[in-house]
Amino acid sequence: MKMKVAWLVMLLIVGMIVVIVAITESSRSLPQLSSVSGSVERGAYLARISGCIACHTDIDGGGKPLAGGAPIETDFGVFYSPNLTTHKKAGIGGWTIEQFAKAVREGISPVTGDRYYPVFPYTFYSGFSDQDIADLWVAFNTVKPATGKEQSHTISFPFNLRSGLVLWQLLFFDDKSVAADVAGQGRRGEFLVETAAHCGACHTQRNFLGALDRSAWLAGAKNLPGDEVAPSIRGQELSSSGWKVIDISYALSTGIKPDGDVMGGSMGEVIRHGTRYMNKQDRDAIAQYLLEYETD
Amino acid sequence: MKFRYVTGACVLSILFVMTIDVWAHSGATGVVKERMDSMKEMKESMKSLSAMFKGEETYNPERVRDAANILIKTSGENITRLFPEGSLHKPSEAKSEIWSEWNQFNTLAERLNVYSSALSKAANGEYLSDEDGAATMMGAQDMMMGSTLNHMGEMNWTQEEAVTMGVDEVARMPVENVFKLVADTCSDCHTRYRLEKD
Repeated sequence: MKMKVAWLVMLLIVGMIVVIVAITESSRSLPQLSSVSGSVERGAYLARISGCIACHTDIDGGGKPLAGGAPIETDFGVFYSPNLTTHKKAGIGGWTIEQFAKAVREGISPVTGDRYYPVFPYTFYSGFSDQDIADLWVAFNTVKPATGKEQSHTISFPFNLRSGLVLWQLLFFDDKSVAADVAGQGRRGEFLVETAAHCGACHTQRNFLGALDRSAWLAGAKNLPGDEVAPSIRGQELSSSGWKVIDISYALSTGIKPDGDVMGGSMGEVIRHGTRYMNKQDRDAIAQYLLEYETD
Repeated sequence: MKFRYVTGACVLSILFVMTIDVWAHSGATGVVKERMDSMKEMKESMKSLSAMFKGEETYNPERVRDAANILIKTSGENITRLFPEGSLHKPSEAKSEIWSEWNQFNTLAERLNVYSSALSKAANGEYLSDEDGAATMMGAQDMMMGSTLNHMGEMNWTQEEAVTMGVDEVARMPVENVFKLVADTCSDCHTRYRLEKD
């Protein structure tokens, strides 16, 4: 009930500020993306480890790669990932790189102007550099056009009223464009955890409006869909449970924990369809970053 | 008189031990306890195996065989018989999908038996230390669009193909890859059929 009331209040406020937002929308300067040369190999790797392929492919339903239709259950309803193949009608075949960047880094549909629901982790992807976007773009352009199950999200009222997302973004979307190219500054582990692999999306508790609790970053989350629990992956908790760099790195590749347990649930899927494709250097970088992660 | 005391003490001791045993698995009884005990044995084996395969401990074929033999013993029908329909009473971490997808669950248990048997056979064989796993030799096309089950890009087979292979065929692969098949089977089962609470 609290969730529904809050959403409705947000809608009312949105009605008042939508004009201001429209005027100030170009807060992120238009990048000169067409002048950046992308690498298909780098882009494919990034797409894999960032979860694009895992979420946008209906693996359980035998769907074609990136043709969408995979269900993602949340407290707000079930979302179905869109088609990201080069299909001109069903997918993003008719898009430009600038439109792709707008969607991925700003969470705004370049076609309708609607805000995306944060089940799409653009709040993390806003940390992609122009080079990352260029790499992803050329890689996505190699994907054969295909159709999948086209299903609309089944979200309960009032969360199905997208206008609320305008205020949601204003309140909770911390644009990381300033911090883009973190990886280029030698902070690869930080880039992987906080942008590409977006670990915080599951390993941080969300508030009743689905926004991540920044005061408890990476401290774990309860009551995830399917009654799952995501543990804390902060340095202190990891170290006190006996995890070392080699353990985290190995677990991200194989799913095997130092005590011999093999991870299942959503983390099992994350590893099987995402992190196991990382090279050892990247897995080690993630491990190092997490073990050194402290709160202020 | 003394006999009664001794008998009484024996009975109490037995009851005490039984209670401790139950408490050790947070109140698990019957098949739930039996299968949790089996899983615990499997976990110990995986701990031993993974320590060697991640390079923390020296590779020892004998140790690999011992661990694989435990997995053989605790897989296939030996594990599925511990999942009678609807046995979801606490503290079970099983999901009801086990019974609605019984064929798939059964297949995973059988595959674990095949791969564990192959691991035991392959223990003395070629040992690869491919640290980069699926990232090795995987072209952009495969990375982007390849079957999501094709996680072993460095070999000319996929998990889909491995599913049809017998023990001897799997045992001809490098031992580390056989172990990956074992671990993936554990992961497949846990991903689909176990409630993750920690």
